[in-house]
Amino acid sequence: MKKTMWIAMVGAFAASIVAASAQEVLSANAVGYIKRTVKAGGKLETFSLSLNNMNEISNVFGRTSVAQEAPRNSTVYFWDGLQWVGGPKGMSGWGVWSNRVVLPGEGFFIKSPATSTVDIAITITGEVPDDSSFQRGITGSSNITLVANPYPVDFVFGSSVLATGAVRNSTVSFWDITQNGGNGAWVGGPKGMAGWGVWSNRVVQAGEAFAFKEAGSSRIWESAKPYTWP
Amino acid sequence: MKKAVAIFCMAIVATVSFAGVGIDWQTSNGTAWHGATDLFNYNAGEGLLDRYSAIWQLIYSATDTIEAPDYGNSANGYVGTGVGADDVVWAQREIQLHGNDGGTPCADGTTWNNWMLAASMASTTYQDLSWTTAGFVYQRIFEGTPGPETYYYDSATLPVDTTFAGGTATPQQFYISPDGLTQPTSQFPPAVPEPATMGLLGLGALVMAIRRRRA
Repeated sequence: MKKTMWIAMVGAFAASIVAASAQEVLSANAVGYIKRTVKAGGKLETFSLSLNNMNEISNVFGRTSVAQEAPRNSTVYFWDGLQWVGGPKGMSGWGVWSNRVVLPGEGFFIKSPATSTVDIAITITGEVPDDSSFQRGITGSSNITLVANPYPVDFVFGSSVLATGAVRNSTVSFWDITQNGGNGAWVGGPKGMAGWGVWSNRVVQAGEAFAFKEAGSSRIWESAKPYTWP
Repeated sequence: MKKAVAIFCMAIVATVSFAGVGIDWQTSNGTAWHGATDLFNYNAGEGLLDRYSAIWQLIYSATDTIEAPDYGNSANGYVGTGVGADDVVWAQREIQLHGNDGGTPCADGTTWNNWMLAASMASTTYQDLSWTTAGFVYQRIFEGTPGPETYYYDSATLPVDTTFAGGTATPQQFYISPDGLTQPTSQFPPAVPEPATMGLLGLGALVMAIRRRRA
């Protein structure tokens, strides 16, 4: 949260970009850059690809800036609905995980190399989505879905359709690297009679992912484009 | 390639094979004081911390048996001391009257409002990555300082998952009061007078009886 953030916008959309409070977001025309930092020494950080790959319809992980900028021996973890799957970046790249398609609004983890001693800055690069809305499937019955804002902006969790549409006893968990002696841990809580309580005000950063357990039935989280450009 | 495979295997092992426990313990809806009659609305002044301080515990039981607390056993978190008693307090939050929202956090860094709902974004998870023994946990809330005729609440037990690996693993969620407000309804018995006190009471009664007879 203390990381410096600033936004620069070049071109016709300069006045429209939405500020992200804790991440560095740059944009030239409709191209955006979101900087996230993974702590050194085998620490984990969440990511999402809220910017579209500029040359392809889908975001194939191996061809994203995240995959390319992460140093060798970094590890990627995807949530497959039941468990974490993924692997390290070796001499030949990400192996089978290179071809993993990352959906809009899907989150994943990047783990820094265990031997790293300097925090790793990774930039999410791509085109600012112009889709009027995105749909993200949310698994019900208290199963975990790793979700993120499909758009490159911050949002207040409690104000999102995801939060307001959840049934009572659904839970949200955010990754907090400051917990557990700097090794990170999940923090969060349930939706109770009083709503999401303190978590209602949690600001989800652009490029950040979080875990969501819907206590009700599976549903679609439809997220509308929160800006008028491009 | 072999090296990459080896590293991958190590990473997966690091993710899934460490044993331990991680339990996120809190309330879904909060806690009312023992006299509250409406457990489905937040009526002013009815929160437990509106009227009392609280001691909130996560307790391990190897045998899935909740032993009645002992208010005389403050040194061990007031757990029962009967024959075969095996309950152990794993974690404890001491919360002052009116809650500690904006005040001094509990030992685990958490703060709570009058309804015992989280007031900060600190971790509410207890974790011990070296714990491998199966068993059960339950939550106990003392209304005020435990003593004669004070009230407390015991939750149902939850089997402990000993496969928590830390890292990306999500902790067990142990949220009490899923359907309404939790309420401490169990009560310690009145203090039993000591034998010496009983003797004095008996002597007093005898004197009264003699006086009446003389009158």
